[in-house]
Amino acid sequence: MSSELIKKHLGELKSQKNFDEGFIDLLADSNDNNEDGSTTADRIVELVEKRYVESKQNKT
Amino acid sequence: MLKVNKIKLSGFRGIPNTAEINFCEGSKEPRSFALYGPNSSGKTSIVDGLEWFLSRDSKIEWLQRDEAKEKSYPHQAAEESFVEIDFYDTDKKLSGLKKEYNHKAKTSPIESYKTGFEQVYKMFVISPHLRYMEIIDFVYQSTGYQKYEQLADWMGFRDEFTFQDKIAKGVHQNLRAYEKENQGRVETFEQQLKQLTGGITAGDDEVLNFCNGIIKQHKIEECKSIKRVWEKIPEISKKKIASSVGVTIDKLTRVETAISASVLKEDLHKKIDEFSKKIGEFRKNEALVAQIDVIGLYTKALEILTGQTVTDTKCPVCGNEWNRDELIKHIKDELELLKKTKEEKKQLEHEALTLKTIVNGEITAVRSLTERYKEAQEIIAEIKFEDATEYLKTLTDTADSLSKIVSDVSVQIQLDSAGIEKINKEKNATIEQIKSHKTKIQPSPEDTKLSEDIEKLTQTKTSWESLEEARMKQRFAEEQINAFYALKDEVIKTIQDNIKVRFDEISDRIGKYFKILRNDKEIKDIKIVLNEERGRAAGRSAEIELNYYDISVRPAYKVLSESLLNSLGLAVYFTCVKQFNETCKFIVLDDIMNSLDIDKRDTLLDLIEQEFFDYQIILFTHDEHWFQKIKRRFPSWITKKIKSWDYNTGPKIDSVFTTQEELVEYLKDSTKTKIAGQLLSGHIEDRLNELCEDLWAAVRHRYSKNEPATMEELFDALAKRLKEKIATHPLVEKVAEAKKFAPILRNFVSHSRTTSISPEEVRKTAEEWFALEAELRCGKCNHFVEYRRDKDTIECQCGEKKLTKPETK
Repeated sequence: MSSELIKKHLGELKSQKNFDEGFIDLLADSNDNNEDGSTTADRIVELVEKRYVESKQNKT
Repeated sequence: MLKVNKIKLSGFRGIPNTAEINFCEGSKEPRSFALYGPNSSGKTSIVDGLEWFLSRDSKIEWLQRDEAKEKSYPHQAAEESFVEIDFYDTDKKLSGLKKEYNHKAKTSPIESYKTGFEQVYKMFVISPHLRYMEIIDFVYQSTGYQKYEQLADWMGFRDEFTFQDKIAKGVHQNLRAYEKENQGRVETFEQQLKQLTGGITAGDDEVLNFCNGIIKQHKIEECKSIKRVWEKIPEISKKKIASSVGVTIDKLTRVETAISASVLKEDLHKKIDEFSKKIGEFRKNEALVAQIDVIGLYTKALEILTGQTVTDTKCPVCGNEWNRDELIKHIKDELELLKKTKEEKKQLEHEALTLKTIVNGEITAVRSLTERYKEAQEIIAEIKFEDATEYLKTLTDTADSLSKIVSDVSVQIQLDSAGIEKINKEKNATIEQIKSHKTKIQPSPEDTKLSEDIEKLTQTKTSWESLEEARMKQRFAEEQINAFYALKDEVIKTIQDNIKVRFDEISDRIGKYFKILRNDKEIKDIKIVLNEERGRAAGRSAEIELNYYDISVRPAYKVLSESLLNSLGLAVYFTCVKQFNETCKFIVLDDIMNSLDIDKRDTLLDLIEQEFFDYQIILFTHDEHWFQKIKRRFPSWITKKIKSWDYNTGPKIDSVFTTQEELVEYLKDSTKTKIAGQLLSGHIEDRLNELCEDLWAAVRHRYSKNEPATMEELFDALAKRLKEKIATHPLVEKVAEAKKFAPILRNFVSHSRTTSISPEEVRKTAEEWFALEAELRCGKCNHFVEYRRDKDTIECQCGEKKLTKPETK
């Protein structure tokens, strides 16, 4: 079961715009889909790697 | 409001045929219910059926282990297995529901009405059934982390707990591994650069000095920055002779430099060896490792044992004969060991994962080395690299073994130090072969030197750029991960704040319930606190804190006795039921009085009477004495007993009579006079003991439990105490006179003279005794009178019945 408390809080954090939106979405998915820890970690790493490639492309 | 009208079980656990309990017997609405049955008479099968029915996952917690699980739920001789409950729902949403065991899909039972079941699952936060072992687990056998997990189920924050756990374990550990991987890449390139430049560090100054030293030799102006050096490489390359020999030399030099710069982990075999030793040590406890999954079975064994009264018994797990107390200690020790072994296993799994990441890095390095060897082989056919190929295979096998080694005892792991030695030897030999080939094709020394220097600069450039890239990526990833951690901390803080509020909300009630269970004035301010500071499970760990003789103590078990801790566990459970189960108004209690001292078991009934009078209590017990008390104190409850149980027929549930009613039945048959006399004798002795205790009558102290006070002594003590407090009250005389029963009743325990007592004598004794008993008991609250120290009076709990000194004229 996903936590309503976490879902609500992540929604609030998203609207405040003080935290990384991509990670907020990722945690929300992890909560909604009852992902295990390593799947969530893999998705975080995937996002970081993707962003790194984009940041390099932007620099060039 | 949800209660239970009727439960029907068939083919489930120890119940082969249909067993039905009707909680509405003699009334329109469901009533509380107490079932007495000796150990192993099928009570737990009924509780198992209820748990399975009420569990969203259709699981029975204590049977969750490899060899048991769902396949142990149905009775082996039954064709169909089901549990059916007819609910009493004031909102009229729920009525009868049936959950049927599905032999084709053991974990997916057939629910008669899915929506109905969904509604049932939503009706409670804390599961409305409690077993004795759950109390023991909660107060003794659990760490702060395990308490927190148990409270998550009891207080309805399991989802938040799962999220916290996932972040702390899975996510955090994997992100740490990712950070280490980035760090490892930086270190490898630093090492490579140091090897190329011969420098102590991989700092820019040292690299610049090394490069300037080369270009100076070729009469090119020194550079002030590294990037400027790289721009000079084409300039130097122009000086190279564009001949086929030059091209070959150039290619060989590039390969030679790359082979020289390759960095392999010299100490990898040591790390593997250390880990292999750890695994070896862990496997020495093979028996324990194999038993990790039977922790639940040990727990159950402990549950059964603590309910038994026999002194010698056989361990249900290892089969050895033990003395009961020793066996309990043995099982507790075994449990402790198993839990420790489970922790060790987790730690080893984590180490195996880290080591596998390192081995994978090494595989990449060796693979790259073999690629260079292949390039050299295209020019020098004699070059062989069997050792590198062999080492690559060994590493691949090692990585594969690391994935399985902790859980599969047949997997071995070994990395011989000879492997790295051979590969280094092969590497040096290859470099020598290349050098000698370069000499053989006879380029000029200047050409050779120029080619070497260009290659050195090119390789340095590549390594430096790779290092820069690795550092940049490491910094970027670190920033990103820190951003994630900031978010994670914020979410976890919200969860913790929410849980702290819940803990605070229930703390007052826990204190109130504990006071009913144990009127101990020195224990105050009981609180459940979140442990945020200490240990690996900080923020996911709970402890009970209290004030003991005005000193704050945490965790509570530091100062509380076993019995006080059990009361505390019960107070927490009942508080959660009251606080969180708003509409579910039934509680199933399986032998929970085991957790309380015999003289404190009444307080549990006090708690039920004072705080749960509007609940339907469904209670199972193997303590007949306590069961009789329940019957007396709660005449409105349905009471039944299990007469017998066997595998083929299951439990036989029968109605229960009061002792008085049973006596009447026995006395109808003259052959049962002895049984009637023994029953009456036991009853009077129990009552006298109870009255003496409640009235604070002084009974001579015995050093041995095997030498209880005689009936005469109890009569004397009771009469003396009543005389002290109510002097000339007629009851004093009646009690003193009742002592005359003692010799008659004694005959039923000294077998020789039993036959000399007639049924009529037993009947007369019983009539007189029960008449006396009625005068000592309140008709309103059903409690016997007791001494109230605060008022210095003798009265019942509700105050309706008071015994006072008759007024003197």
